[in-house]
Formats: sequence, structure tokens, C-alpha cells
Amino acid sequence: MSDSADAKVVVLLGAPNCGKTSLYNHLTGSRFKTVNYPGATVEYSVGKLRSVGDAPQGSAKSADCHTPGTKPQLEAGSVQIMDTPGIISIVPRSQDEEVALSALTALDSVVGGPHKSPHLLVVLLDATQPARHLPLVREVIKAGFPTVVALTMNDLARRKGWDLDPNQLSRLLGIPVVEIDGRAGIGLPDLISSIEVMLPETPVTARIPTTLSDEQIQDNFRWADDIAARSIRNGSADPAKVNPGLGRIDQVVLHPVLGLVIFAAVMTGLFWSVFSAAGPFMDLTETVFGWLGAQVGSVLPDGWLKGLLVDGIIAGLGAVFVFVPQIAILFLALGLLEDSGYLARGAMIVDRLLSAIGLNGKSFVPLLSGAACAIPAAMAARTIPGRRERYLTLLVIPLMSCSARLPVWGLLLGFLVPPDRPLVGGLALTGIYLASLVFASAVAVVGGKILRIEPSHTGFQVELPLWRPPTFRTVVVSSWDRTVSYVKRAGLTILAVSVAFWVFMTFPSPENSAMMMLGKLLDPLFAPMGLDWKVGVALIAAFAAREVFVSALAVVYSVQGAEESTDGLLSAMRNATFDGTSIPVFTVSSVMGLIVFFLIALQCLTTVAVMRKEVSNRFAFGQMAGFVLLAWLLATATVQGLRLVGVP
Amino acid sequence: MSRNLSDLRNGQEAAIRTVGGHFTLSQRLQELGFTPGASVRLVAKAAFGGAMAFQVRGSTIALRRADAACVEI
Repeated sequence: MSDSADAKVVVLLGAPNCGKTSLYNHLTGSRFKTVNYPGATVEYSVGKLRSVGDAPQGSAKSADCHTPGTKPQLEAGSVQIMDTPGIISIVPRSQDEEVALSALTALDSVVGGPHKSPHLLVVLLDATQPARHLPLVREVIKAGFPTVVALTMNDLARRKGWDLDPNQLSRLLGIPVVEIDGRAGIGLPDLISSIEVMLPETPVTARIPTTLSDEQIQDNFRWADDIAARSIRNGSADPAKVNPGLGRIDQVVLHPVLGLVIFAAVMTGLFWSVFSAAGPFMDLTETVFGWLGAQVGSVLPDGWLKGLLVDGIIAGLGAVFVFVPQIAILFLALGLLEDSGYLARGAMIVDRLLSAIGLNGKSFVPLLSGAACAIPAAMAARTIPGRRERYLTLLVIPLMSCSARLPVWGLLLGFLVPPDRPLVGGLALTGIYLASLVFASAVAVVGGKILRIEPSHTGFQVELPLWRPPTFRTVVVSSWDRTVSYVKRAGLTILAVSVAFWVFMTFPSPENSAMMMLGKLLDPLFAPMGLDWKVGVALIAAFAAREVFVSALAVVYSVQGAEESTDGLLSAMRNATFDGTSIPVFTVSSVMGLIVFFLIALQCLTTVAVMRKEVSNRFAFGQMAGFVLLAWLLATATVQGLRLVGVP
Repeated sequence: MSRNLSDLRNGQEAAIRTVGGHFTLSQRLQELGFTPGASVRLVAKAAFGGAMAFQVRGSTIALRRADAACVEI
């Protein structure tokens, strides 16, 4: 990109959870998800500074900010803004912090371009904890970077009893300080003016220390305490000394007993709501796809096109998209948790439990986001400082029940649980999540014995952010974005696999199809699991994406008997028998076996790719092979064991 | 007799004397604001000997109990 090579680079830097991504979104017009958890950003993003005219025209709260009244002259697109993961210190101690530091010293290798260092840093300073965040400001100034300080969260600081004066700070630091509100976008024109004034033609060569001595750290804090105390505009509290005790919410949430109860209730509620709240929306989606299939079926003449559209595409997509409401509700519930500030509290509460199985309190958020998708979860594991704990977390992340498995659970539980018992269904789904946790714990313990990495002395530390009422906009917009991207990604795969499936199920002839030949060849693999070749090929297809299992089954059964497909996939499953017999394929035991298989099997190639990048080839392929083998063994054991004790 | 942060009772405040433990841990604790002289208040303890939450320099930070024990008061 020739224009980006000429563009000047401004890096946003700051402590975790100080509002870098909010500011980035405003400056570039992006809408990256913002989360109230220290460590939500683990990768850099780069975007062009949008023209100032597009920026919200809110007036700065202080009329006397640095460089007041200057009309910003920056040309849109001439400046690139880079968001980075939060850092505590200029010396990195975890993967995400290393990502941020590489933006300062090895920019050419991160985003390309001719320069090793950015032109300018915008360091965010959280006004609620200036004494803790000023040492970083001092270190980057010392390193020689041209720097502008963006003072955030002054409104929250006022609630704590003080108010920082940007002008006074600017005098004391000797660099521009601009007060902004990253969430509302207030103060941005002034910030952009300051960026313009400070932006040099070419970047300086900065010298970043590789270590800090205890004396340097302590001296930085003495200096920071002093600056913070001298920058107060209103209020009597000294930000460096005040430790007011817990607020009312934390007194309950962090209570040793109540806290545990609340934690259990929040987690159960999260997964239970996925099943119970989605019901009406799922019925609606089912009706729409049923109607669509009937309409297309009545318009088109009989023939292969009608077969492909109705039995292939509409049946395949419909079978999976019925479960999109569940996925949307999962994203919404996770978003509410993320935005509130509860996640860090949860991490604190479960550190004891997680450290007992070789993980870390900081594994909590990656594992929880694994309930949505293993890919962002694997990247979120970068916040875990110890290598051993990080690798163990990465090992078990694919065992978390991700959203791609929800359609599978929906179908299989729909088979086991009568439809008029939604309460039982919700409990059963919670049970599946619980089972995945138990199994992941066992794997973590065993993995810890196999993995030959020395424990690192990094311990567990997490900052508990201030509670914020979740904003409607952040939560709804981000869960909408996530749902849409799920539909697009899964939709394309399902479409492709459904079409391929329909073709191979239909040719050379439905009675003797290519798929049948493949399935019968692999039958010895599926027979121990109590399955026939049709379910077997759907299992194979699920390696394209787990939810494809559902769409593939839908295609298999609607090709087999078009008139039954209107009753839905479930009744087709109830009627399915082994070829030439009246023995049912789907029984309690074989469905339980399928549940065990999907709990464990690593059937997601994107996950393998991400694990290769985050750890190594050996780790990624070993993990996949191990989990598939284990899944097959345990599924077979489940089916045969259940049959042995008389379960059909 | 030397006392450390994990000996604090809920609500109690104390000044840090020294930060010990493994080098990596001791540096990160200091970078988080737990420096000699700083005033720290214990505000919450998780169940079963779990993590403890402290307030230091106006922030609330949770530490594993074993890590808190490296900070003498």
C-alpha cells in the first residue's frame, strides 16, 4: 500500500482498560468491541484518522485545553492510528504487552512501512488512577517519543473526589494534555489539533529500556504521586493516597460466600438463558424457513433445481439458522457481562479453583469467551503472563462448548427432551456446559503432567475496574455485529457443504450415491458409535464447521424422503433406521454418544490454524489428533456402556 | 515479627516495607503500585484461601494470596 507507507503513524498507548479502543473507534470511525476488562485488546489494529469534520462536534469540557481554538488542518487519511493492548510498564511481561511494545520498537515488522518507531504516541491517562498510570507516561517521555497525553475518565474521577487539571498536568509534564471522553467522543477536535502540532516529519529513534531497576520503578512512583497530588483542580482527596474501601456492589459481589453464590448464579443464568429465552425466536425462524421451502417448492417444477434449492440449500441453511437466536442471546449475555466490569471480579473469584488445576484466574476470560468461539479465546489467552499457564489454557480452550456447537446441542437435546419441557432442556444444556468444564479440568491436570514447561513466577494479578452500567449501544451493537459475522461465516460454509452434500447424495443416483459409497467404506468407524453411514458422513462433514453436522443431516434426510422434510429434522431422525432393517439409528445411547463426541472432538480447522500461530505446529496438530481420538473412544465407550446397562 | 499483606484483616490499612518474592513477581507488583512506603488496604478476600483484593494508589487490584504474602508490611 503506497499511501499507507507515506502516512504518519500515531500509536495509542496506555494501561489496560483505560479507553484506548473507545478512542480508536472515534478517531477512525471503526466499531471495535469495547469491553470493561483489563486485557480486552490483545492485538493491534490500524486505521486511518478520519477527517475531522466527521468527528463528533461535542465541545471539550474544559474550554482552556491545550492549543485551544486551532482549526485542525490534518488531511484525512494522512495519519494512521494504531490501537494497542494495554501495558502496565514499558517492560513487557506477557504476550499482549509484547504486542504493544513491538508497535514502539519494531513497527516495520508489525505494519510494514519504513519506520521502526511511530511518529507520535498518544498516551491515555485514566484520571481515576493517575498515580498508577503516570509512571508509564514518564517512561515514554524519557525514551524520547513525541507524546500527547489524553486525559480520560475525569467524570468518574469526580465521583471519587477529585478532578485533574489538564493545563496544570501539561505544565508539569512539559507536553500537551487534552481532556477527552472516549465513550462520548468529547474533546476529540482538541486532541487532533494537539496531534497535528506535535507530529514530526520523521519519527525519532527512541531508546526503550529492557529492564527497570527497583529503584527506577520506585522513583517513578514517587514522582507520579507528586504530580498527581499537584494536578488536582477540585476536591480534597489525594489520588495517590486515597483507599476508600469497597463500593456497595463490590461488598456483595466480592463477599467470600455471597460472591461464590452470585458467581454460580451468573454463570448458570448465562447458559440457561441461551436455551430458554431463545424459544419463541427459534419457532419464528423455523416457520420462516418452512414457508420459504414450501413457496419455492410450489413455484418450481419438479427436477434437480428444485431438489437442490429445497432439499439442499433451504433445508441445510434452515436447520442451522433456527439456532441463530440462541447464538445471538449468548453474545448479548456475554456482552452485558463484559461491559459491566464483572469479568475481572469473576477472574478473582475463580483463581483459587483454576490455579488448583494448573491454570490461572486470568484463564477465566479466555475460557468464557471460548463459549462463543475458540479463536478470539485463544488470542485472549495472551493476557496470561506465565507460559505454562497460557499453554494449558490454550490446550483446553477447544473443549469449551463454542457457539458452533449450539445448533448441534439444540438438535440432540431436542431429540432427548420432550418439547413441552423447556425447563428440562435449559437444565440439560447447562449440564452440557458443566460436563465440558469437568472434562476440560481433567485434561488440564493431565496436560500439566505431560507439558514440560517450568512454572513461571508470574502469579495472578488483576485490576478490578470501576463498575459501569452497560451501555445499550455498546452491548447491542457488538452482539449484533458478532451475530451477523457468525451468520456470514457459518452461512457460507453451510451453503457450500449443503450443495456438495446434495450433489453427492443425489448422484449418480439417490439409491446408490457417491456419499453412500464413502459412508459404507468408513462404516467400521461409525458402527461402534452406534451410527449408520448417513450420520457418519455428516460427522465427517462437520470438520468443515461443527454446525454443518445439523445441515448435513437435514440434507441427507430431505433427499431421502422429501415429503417428510416438512415435519422438520427431528421427526426424520425419529423415523431413521439402519438400511434394510427396522432398527432405529437415533436412540438415547447413540445420541448421548454423539453429545460426548461433539464435547471433545476438535473439528474446527480455523482453531488449528490459530493454535499453530499462538503455539506451534506440533501443539496444534497433536491437540487436534488427540481430541478427535479421545472423542471417538469416549463416545464409543458411552454408547456401548449405556447399551450394556440396558439403555436403548 | 514480620507481617505481610496476606495477614491484613478486611478493611485494615498498612504501609509497605519491602516487596520480596521471585524477581519477576516482585517487579510486576511494584509496577502495579505496590512500592515500599505505599499505603495498602485489604478490601476483599475470596473463599477457600483464594485471591485478595487490595486498594493501592486509588486502584483496586486482586492478588493471589501467595503473591500478597511476598509483600511485607
